[in-house]
Amino acid sequence: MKHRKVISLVPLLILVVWVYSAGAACAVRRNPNLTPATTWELNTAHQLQLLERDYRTFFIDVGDAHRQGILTDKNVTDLNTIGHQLKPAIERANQGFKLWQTVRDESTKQQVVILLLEAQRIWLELATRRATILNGEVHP
Amino acid sequence: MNAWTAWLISEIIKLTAMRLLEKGKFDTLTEEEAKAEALKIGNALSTSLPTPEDLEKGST
Repeated sequence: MKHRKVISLVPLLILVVWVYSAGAACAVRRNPNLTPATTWELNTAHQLQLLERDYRTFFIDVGDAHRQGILTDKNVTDLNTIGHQLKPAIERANQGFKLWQTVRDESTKQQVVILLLEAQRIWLELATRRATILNGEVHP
Repeated sequence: MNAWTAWLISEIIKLTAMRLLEKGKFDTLTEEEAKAEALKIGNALSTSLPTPEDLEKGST
C-alpha cells in the first residue's frame, strides 16, 4: 500500500517540478533588439517578480483552504515553516537585485544569481511539501 | 476526487496558466524600453514582505 502511494506520488512530483521550474522560464526568449546584459536584467527582474507574486498567492490560498477546512492546522504550520524560510530568501534576492541595479558590478550580479537560485530552491521545496501533504503523508 | 486533490489541481492549472501568459512577453521591446521595464520591476520589488500568517489572514 505504501509502495503504491510512492508510485502515485512520482507523476505528481514531476508535474509540480515542471510547473514550478517553469517559473524560471524566460520572459525574454527571442528579442534581437536587446543586449545580453539587458536580457539578463529583464529576465532576472521578472523571475523575482514572479517569485514574490507566487509567494503572496500561495499563502493567501493556504488561508482560504484552511478556512474551508481543506487544510488542517498542522498542514498550515508545516507550510508556514517553509514560508518563513522563503520570505527572507526572496527579500534578500530582491535587495541584491536592487543593489545590482545601482552598482552594476560582476560580483553583485553573481550574488543575485546565488540568492535567486536559493529562493527558487525553497519555493520548489514548498511546492513539493504541498504535494506530499496531498499524498496523505501529513494530512490526517 | 477529494477536496485536497481538487485544490492542488486548481492551483497547478492557475500557476501554469499565469506562467504561460508571461512567456516571451518582452520579446518585442526595444533596448530602451526593456531597460526601463527592468528598472520599473526592480523598483517595485519588496524587501519587506508580509509573513505567511499575515497573508493567510488576508490582512495585507
